[in-house]
Amino acid sequence: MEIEHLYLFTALIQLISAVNFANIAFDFHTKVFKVFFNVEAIIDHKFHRINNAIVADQESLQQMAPLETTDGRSNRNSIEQLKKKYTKFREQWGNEINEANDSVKGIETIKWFRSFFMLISLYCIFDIALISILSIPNVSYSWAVVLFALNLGVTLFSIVIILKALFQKESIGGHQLARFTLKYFTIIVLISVLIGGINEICVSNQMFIITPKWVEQTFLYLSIIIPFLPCVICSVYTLYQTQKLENRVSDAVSSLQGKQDELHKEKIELDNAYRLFESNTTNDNISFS
Amino acid sequence: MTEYRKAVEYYASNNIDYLFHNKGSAHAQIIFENIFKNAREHIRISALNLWNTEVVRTKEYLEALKLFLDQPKTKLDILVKSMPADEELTEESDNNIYRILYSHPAYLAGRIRIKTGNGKCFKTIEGSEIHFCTADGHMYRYEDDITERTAQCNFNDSDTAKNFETLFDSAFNGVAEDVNLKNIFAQHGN
Repeated sequence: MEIEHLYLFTALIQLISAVNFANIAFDFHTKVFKVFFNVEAIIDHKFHRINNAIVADQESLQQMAPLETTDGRSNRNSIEQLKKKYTKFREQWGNEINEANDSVKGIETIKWFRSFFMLISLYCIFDIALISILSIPNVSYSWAVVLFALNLGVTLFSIVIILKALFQKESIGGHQLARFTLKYFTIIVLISVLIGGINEICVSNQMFIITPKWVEQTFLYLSIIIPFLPCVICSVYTLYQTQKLENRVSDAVSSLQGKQDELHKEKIELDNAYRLFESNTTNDNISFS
Repeated sequence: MTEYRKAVEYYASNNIDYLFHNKGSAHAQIIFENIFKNAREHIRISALNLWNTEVVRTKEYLEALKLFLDQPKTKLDILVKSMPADEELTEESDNNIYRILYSHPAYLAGRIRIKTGNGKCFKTIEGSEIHFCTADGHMYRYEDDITERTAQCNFNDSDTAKNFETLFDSAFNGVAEDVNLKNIFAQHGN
């Protein structure tokens, strides 16, 4: 690709710049997350369906009057033991749903992605400006060097921000993020201009550094690729986290459901004693008198 | 209690065969509300006198019962051990169940029938008085301790519900005359 070919992409870069600017204030990854992960359907509905069963059984057990047979046997101990098992299970249920909700919050509150969008938005301004300068006939090649240096600097800084987004756990304020991003972007721009200036001095003193074509092409391609990085990386990251969370919730719900089924079977065994009692009652042992 | 209510509503609206044990007025009210809201054909109630303020004469119980009667062709049969005194029964208040039933179009249409055992009621072989309510041949609430309001209930147990209905119908049909609310209210200037 030659520099001239970059001009064909300026409209696209302008468009994606607008998207990047818009997402500085509105969390793009949260929007993507909400599209693919319906918190209500996946977490609330599944966990609360189990909760309905737990509540019904627990309340029923609380109200269950122990049966005593004429030979002194009673199901009181069985009732009390099952109540304890349910109390412990309810705690487990509570922990699982809290962890699921914490995971959702963790995904939604990653602030470093805003920094990423801010960085690339600012970069896009310089990207389009430099492409415009390079379209001027006979303009100095040093402007291309400025663009290459800017692309390299922004790429490296993007890697830093992505790593911070993925691995930095402590929260950071919006203003702090903005200051951090602006500070290092300004440094990158200044270094890029400096490198361009040094190149101009070298050229005017007949000192040339021959760079392989592929290096030149790569730095040119970056001008088109970098503007799309925040949307692509955020989308990929969010989709990955969404899948991970869905699997996690699915496993937790299966495990809880399995345990609830076991406890419910024990309760049904207790219930059966009452059902026998009732059917005996309704057959011949009730009179209207 | 909110969670219990949600759980009961879930089991009732989904016709799930599940034996609920319940105790006390609050639980009783939730159960009755859900029986009435989910019934579509025929409710049978056997009670002391349907005059208590803790369960029967509450807004939730009465509104749910009215909603049931508002549906066309629904039937309500009530068999009480005794009726409240006429002076109480004809009192003008928003929670007078007999006034509400009498005023409902279903009463004139013959869809509401009230009978009294005149002291007779359902009893177990040990002599304990019991009350129960059934609906549509598959829902029931059976109170075996009328003081503590300890009961069992199921929204989908046809065998037990039909057993209770057979018992009820046998006693109900054995009482010759209906309680004539029209005469009672007319005699007391209503």
